Amino acid sequence: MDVVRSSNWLGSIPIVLTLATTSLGTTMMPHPIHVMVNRGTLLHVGLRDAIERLQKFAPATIHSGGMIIRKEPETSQGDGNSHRDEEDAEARDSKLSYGNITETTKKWKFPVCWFEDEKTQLPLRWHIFAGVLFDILTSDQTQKQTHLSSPQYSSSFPRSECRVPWKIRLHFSSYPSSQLLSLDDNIRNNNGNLSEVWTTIERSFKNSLKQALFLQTGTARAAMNMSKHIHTRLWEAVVSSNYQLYQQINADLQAKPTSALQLLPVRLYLDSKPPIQRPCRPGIREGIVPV
Amino acid sequence: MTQISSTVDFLSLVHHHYYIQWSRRICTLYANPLMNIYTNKDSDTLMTLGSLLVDWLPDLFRRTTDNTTSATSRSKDDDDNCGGNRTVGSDIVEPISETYQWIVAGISRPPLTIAVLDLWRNLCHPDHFLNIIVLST
Repeated sequence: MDVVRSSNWLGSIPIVLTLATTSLGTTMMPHPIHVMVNRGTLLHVGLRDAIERLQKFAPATIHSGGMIIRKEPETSQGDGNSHRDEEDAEARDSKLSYGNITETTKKWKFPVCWFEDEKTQLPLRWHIFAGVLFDILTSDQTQKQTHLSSPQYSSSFPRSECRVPWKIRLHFSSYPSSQLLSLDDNIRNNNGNLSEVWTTIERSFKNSLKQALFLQTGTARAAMNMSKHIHTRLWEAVVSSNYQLYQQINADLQAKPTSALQLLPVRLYLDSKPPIQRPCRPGIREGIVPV
Repeated sequence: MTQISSTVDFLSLVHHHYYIQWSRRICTLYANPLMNIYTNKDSDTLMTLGSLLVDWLPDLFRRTTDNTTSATSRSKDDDDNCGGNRTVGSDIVEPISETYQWIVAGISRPPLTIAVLDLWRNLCHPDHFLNIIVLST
């Protein structure tokens, strides 16, 4: 069973990330960035390095503050500060190491940004895992690829139609608040500071996990007993896509005896609509679960 | 995440990590030892993917009862997707339209006879949620 889970964790999606022209603050358009993103991570998490690199080309007000920016880019401001900002960004890059990603990300102020699927031009929901978004938006092509080996399909669907790599556009402005959850929800944390983007994403993951734990156990005890240390380790495992680390922590969390399992945490996505979530018992007849 | 410096490197990586190959690998792994984790004595008590889809999306999936179907019968989709042979009862679930797709963790059209519990155990996301995608368009 662990083989399947670990293999599932290794799955990655090739992504080509480009900066939206509306978020361009310099005279030069940056080259697209090619990245392999783990299926089990969130887009903002998996693409944080690419965001940091492309942020240098956004209007200066964005990379100085990191708060939400809704104004159009001003080229003149971007030109004046671009050299200094590039140096700052390079200094940040030098500090970046995969060993302590969370700490590094805390130092770098994550900007409010959003992604758009180039093909469908739909804004991508930041709280949904990258693999799920990919499956929703590239399904037609996936189906064609699946049958490519069949002789009857070999001539009908040439490989050039494959939607790999997945083309995504990065925006630093005009956040579509009506379509996406807010990334800076203006909730003050324990230090009295406004919640940052990274914290918002982490909290979303934590809440989803707690919800799943409640469904599994039928009680809030498991979620409430989850210490901050455990959650931090889990989050680090997600950020670094480290299955071994995840499994160390998760082994105690995920309901082990199937008999103790109350409900299965399942979400069903119908097309691009919001997910359907209902009680899902492991057994067909109520109260019967395999031992 | 892997940083790729050039397009050539990137394309070679794409070939290595080709999405569908990965999907098939998972599917093959899933089909062999793991489909037999639970023995047949439990099989008629398990909620299957097909049952869930019929319950949650009755407009898109339907249940057809076939008394001649044995517990080891395999549908066309099973054959296409390296599926297992676990069947629950004699009910067969099928999509109302053949154009519908259902995807779990990148695996397109897994057998509808798989237990949701098995799927959840193996393919749930880090937040413990099993995400099932149905595409009707």
